[in-house]
Amino acid sequence: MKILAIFIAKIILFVTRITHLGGGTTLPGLVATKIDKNVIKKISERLKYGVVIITGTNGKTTTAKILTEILTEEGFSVLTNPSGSNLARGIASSLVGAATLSGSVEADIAVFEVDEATMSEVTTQLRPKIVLVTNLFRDQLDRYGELDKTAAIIGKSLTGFSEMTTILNADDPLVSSLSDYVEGRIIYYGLEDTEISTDSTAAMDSKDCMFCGHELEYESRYLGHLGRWKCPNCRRIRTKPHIWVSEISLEPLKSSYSLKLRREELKIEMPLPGLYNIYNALAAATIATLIGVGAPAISHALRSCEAAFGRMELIEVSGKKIMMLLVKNPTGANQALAAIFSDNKAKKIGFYLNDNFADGTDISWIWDVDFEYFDLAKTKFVASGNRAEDIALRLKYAQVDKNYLHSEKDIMIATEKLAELLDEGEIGYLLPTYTAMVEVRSHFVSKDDQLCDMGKVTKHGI
Amino acid sequence: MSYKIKLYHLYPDAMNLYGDLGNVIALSKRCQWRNIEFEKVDVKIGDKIDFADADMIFMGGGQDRGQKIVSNDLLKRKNEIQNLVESGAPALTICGGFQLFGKYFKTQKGDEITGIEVFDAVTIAGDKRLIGNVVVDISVATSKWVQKFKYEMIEKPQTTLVGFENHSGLTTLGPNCEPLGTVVKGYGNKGDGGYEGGWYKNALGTYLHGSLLPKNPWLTDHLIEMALMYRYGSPIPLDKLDDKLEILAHKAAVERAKTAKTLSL
Repeated sequence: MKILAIFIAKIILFVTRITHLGGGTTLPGLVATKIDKNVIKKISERLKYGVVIITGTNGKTTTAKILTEILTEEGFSVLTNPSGSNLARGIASSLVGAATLSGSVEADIAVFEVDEATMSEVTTQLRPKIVLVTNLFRDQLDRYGELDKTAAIIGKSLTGFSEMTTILNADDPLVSSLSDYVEGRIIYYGLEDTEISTDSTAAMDSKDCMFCGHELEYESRYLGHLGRWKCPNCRRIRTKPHIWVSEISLEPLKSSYSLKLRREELKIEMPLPGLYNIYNALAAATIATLIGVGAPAISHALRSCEAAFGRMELIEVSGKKIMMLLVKNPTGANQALAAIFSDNKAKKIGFYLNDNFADGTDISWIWDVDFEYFDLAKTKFVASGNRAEDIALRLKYAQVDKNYLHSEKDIMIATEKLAELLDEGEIGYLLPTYTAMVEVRSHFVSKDDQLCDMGKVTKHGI
Repeated sequence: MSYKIKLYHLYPDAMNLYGDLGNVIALSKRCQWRNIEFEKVDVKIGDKIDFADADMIFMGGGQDRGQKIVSNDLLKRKNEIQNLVESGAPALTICGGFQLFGKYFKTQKGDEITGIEVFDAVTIAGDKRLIGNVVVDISVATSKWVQKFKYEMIEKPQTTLVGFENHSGLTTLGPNCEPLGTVVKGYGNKGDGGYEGGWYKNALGTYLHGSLLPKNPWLTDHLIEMALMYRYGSPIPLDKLDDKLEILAHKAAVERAKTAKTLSL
């Protein structure tokens, strides 16, 4: 059955890739699991270093990408799942794609990003060595209901694996509370930097204690509800992280910080901006350290890492350069705006809001984006996407002058308009939701570049 | 003469889901654009605050966690809030706020969380989440408001409200609470596509997030007018604003509600 499952899935994978029918990201896995429901488990058992799973609201894709770069630097052959296919079927497709007919795998280790809702199915089948939870924010809540329910779903998926190491973000009180579900070893990561703090109260998605419901207190708050928290009532308190980052300095297109591993302390200058990317890098470094990767590979990979597919990408439109930053929820949007405005200069920004299933069908989160926190005077906006009217209205209520606000539902025309607004040599910014990002890429990124997001085995030297 | 209204925002931290803050932004901006001073008082758990100077109350939705603590605190303010509503001050309550302004909320475990009985309504936790775009016909309620106040609203009340619902609680209205409207598209109070929301005097309850007020500007203005009437004792005419974008967004959302898929978990 296993051979049949892999064989048929491989044929489908081949056909779908040749014909470009959905890129072969989910169908082969779906079919393989239909033929042999244990196919994922059987193949993953053959991986020398096992399976690493990254879940949580924000940063899954970029963390997985940075980790893959570190592991590749160290000489590992890494199997990943393509972003956007982080449901069980997509993972099955990646595994059968990398498996030989006898069921052995060409890779040493698998790094999978997994959607919160499918965690229990995936942990049961894959029996991962390491699971990391990045953070829990409101994202696509229309899919999962309330945030506490999402936490409970992840929590239950962590129960029953005493051999598994769970890595939790110490700064996120809701993620930290998952420790109650864990039976094996727990490692914490977080920021140890009292200089970084925000007074924006936006995206405080989990501001009350999970155990007693009392409002949490913060010694310093880094972003949203992430920070050095404690409950004044039941006295729960943030765990001091095992691996941490301090001495953070942020600029519009890069960041620098000090990374404290178990023994070494590394000074890193990284070509990714924003505190959220420092969290991603720290998460990846924490996993790599646990796997046994040395400081030189971590340091080298972080100094040259790139953001994941569409998360941050420089595109060229009519000879002008536009930096595209994916936004999915208020936290991400606030962080993108913080990076864009870190030099306090007026900008030209496109905000493209789609409400398709992959974006989350509830767009009310735009009212939780703290536009009011930034000085938007003189910044020009282009509102687009199938909910262009909604984002235009949000910007109106953030006091964007109507002469500085263009609304154009068609994403291609809107992007050309944004390019037209730019002066010679000026960089524009584009904040699209997921399906809007995919549409922008389909118009303005060449076909060759689009193919590189397929699930693949990354080998050293390639 | 320059006018002013004072909004008391109940539990801005604990009760703010799905962009409910957008309602406060809408109220604040539409006052500011008319040179009406808008003051907001945040009421948090345990705060010693007296409501004597309040002209309007707002309470958003919250997660199930903390609902009990919010309820305990809210009950201490029950008389003050009831008196305000009885004497005509407007209130807007969304989702969890709507539920706690009713008589009680019965959780899935069977616990009863007591409400402050502004609305003759009871809510019982359902077993699926009702999620999606909503269009509500509220022509019955608005025509009653117009008759009742006999005042000229600057804009004719629209007959539709548009928003986004995400709840599992099922609310049944008693005889002393009228439905805000009937569902054109969506699930509504009981998940049956029947009634949506409720109103008593000038207090409104609804399941509509979205945010509700920005895309339904005439309702924002109605609340501002009611607050001014409450504060100054007579109708104060509002300046007309350019609502082109609001109307476009309202219409687009109505269109989208017709085409977008809804789901329930």
